[in-house]
Amino acid sequence: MDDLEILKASIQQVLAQDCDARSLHRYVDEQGSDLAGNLRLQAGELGWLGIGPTDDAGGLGLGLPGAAMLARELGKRLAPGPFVPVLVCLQVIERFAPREISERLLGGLMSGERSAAIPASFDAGESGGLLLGDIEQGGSVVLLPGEKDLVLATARGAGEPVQQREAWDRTRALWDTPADPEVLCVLPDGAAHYIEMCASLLIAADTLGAMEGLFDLTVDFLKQREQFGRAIGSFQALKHRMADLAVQIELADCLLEQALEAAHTDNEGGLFWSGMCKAEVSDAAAFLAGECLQLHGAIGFTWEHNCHLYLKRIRLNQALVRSNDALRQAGFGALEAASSDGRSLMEIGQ
Amino acid sequence: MIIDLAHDPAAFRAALRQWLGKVLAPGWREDMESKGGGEDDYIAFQRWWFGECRKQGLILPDLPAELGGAGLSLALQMMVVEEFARAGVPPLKGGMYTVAHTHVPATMLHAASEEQRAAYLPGLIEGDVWCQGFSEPGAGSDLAALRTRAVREGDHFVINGQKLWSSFAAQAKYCLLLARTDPDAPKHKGISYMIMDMASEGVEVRPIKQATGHYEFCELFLTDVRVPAANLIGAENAGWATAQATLAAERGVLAFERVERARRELELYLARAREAGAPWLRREADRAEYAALVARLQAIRRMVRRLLADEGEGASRLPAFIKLLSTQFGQVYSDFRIRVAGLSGQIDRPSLPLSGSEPLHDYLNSFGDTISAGSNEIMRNLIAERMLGLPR
Repeated sequence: MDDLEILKASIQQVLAQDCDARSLHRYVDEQGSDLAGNLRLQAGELGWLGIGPTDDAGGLGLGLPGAAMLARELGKRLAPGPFVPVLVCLQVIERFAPREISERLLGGLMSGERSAAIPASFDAGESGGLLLGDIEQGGSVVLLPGEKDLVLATARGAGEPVQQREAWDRTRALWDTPADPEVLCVLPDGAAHYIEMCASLLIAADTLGAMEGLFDLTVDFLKQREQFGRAIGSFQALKHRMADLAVQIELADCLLEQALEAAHTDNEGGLFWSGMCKAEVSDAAAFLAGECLQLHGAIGFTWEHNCHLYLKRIRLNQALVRSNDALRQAGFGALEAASSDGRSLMEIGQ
Repeated sequence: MIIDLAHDPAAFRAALRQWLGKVLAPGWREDMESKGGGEDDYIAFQRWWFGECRKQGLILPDLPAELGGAGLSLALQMMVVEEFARAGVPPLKGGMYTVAHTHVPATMLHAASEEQRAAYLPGLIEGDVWCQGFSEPGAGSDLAALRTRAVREGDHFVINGQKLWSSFAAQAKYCLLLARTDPDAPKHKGISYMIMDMASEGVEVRPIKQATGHYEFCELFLTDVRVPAANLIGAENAGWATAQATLAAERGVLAFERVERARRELELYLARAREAGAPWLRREADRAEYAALVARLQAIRRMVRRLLADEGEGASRLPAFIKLLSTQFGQVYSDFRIRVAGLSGQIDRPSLPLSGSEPLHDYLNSFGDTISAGSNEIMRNLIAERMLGLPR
């Protein structure tokens, strides 16, 4: 097993214990649980949040593939908290922020003490200025659209608190843009594409994890639930739907691999494949979520069950970064440009 | 011969590309189609194409050299497929050579005796065409329900029955035949696998006209056909396992071929649309759909590479996924082209029985893929029961 696989096994083990259905529902129902905060600190302590940054920055140096693996496992377990924004900010700060700023911020983000927020959408006019993540006064790292480029800021310790908008997905939070953030720096040209690419990749990874988590739950249910004197999973009408979903999960996994490889090798391909990956994976996931809820029958329609938590997480993911139609339109533009230059975006490294 | 460069992959690819650039004139396909895409012409063309590939030593790339094949590594086999797809020439193992070059070697390696290999493998290099005698009127997805009888009489079997959907049986010299040798045994345990000479007395072949208008598959009527007992492959009544090996041969490189050709066609479709200023390029819905097709195909191409790279866990899980996805892709993509073409796509122009033809032709032809080699519904059963563990 390589490093990534060893780390994955340990993440799975910890999450199975600490992010189980009971803890999750206590958190969602706001019964005095700070699961999100605790998980974030634990993720910091165990070194998970430092999975992407290099050794020099105090991280594990596993880059975006590492961050994507973590996001996927967190999605699988519906882990609450601003994990994707934190992971995106770590990538961006290490790559683009001046040294004194990255020295100031990276440690706190990797330890789980600092939270982060990023634009919920990069579509102009789409987001209404909403941010995804957690904004805590006096420390959170916030990526904000500036006049021209994105700016890196922190939430001030005093003044009017930033308004949180309760999302249908109770495992993540949406926020209004802070009125008066402390701007640390304007990010250079090219950072916007990179940020969007990271966000697309990690949202896709979270979504794929959620697909897997919900699918596994449904397979188990179909084996246990009996009607007409037999397990309902023995009915062919249901089997075929499950087989099609299994195929979609494998397809999503391949597309994520494609996007991660493209992100590693080139800019144009990185943005194209991460966008297409987010669009295709989240649409497939939305379909899967509906199927799995239906296949559970009435129990899947209850608040106590995890079905709706997965469905809501997937639906939020589908709306994040950019609308899937906008991603496909941009994707087609890239294909058209490549085609007219006699290039291909479909080469696969051997 | 190009094959002599197999020790040097870069030189091999260069030589292949150079040869492919001149062996067929760029408009070969349009020329044949303008002559009406006649069945006989295309059969003659396939024989000619086989001969050209043979001159370069490329026939049976996966068969070890000591058995008469080209003995290419998997990487070089993939390279050949890529270059053939890139050049838009007919596949190396396609059309009427599909069974001879894919299923026969797999079967022979799995279960045939030394004598059988010596007797039949050299003929493959000479261009022997083979067909499959598997399906029957009452045995399609439930192949083990087959009823064609083989009764032992001394050193022969006497065969009576009917076979269906046997591609290129009209051109075939031999048939890979499944017949029931023990009618009293459970259905999977009474089947034997044998080689039938298509010139035997009592073999009647009737070509069947397909929805595309082409005649590729046939019906076989077998009346008191005598097959030597020496033609039995593997043990008597143990044919089912060998049939599985035959069917498994359709995986891997054949799937690679399908998706590499789809990639080339998909990219060519956009390039041609741009040159022609096609109206769909300005329609947002079509643009989005095309981009999604590219993403989907790329994911499938990755999955096929995973299968080829991995003989372990993936080798058992992925073939059914790939069968479903790659065949569905052919359907979804040609469906897109039909809608984009509108009325002009409804004009029936002569086309060759190859993909990359008229949209409606390709669409119809794609059902050959979603139905054959284990229908996609059978694949879904397999995935649900064997992989997800859902109860039978």
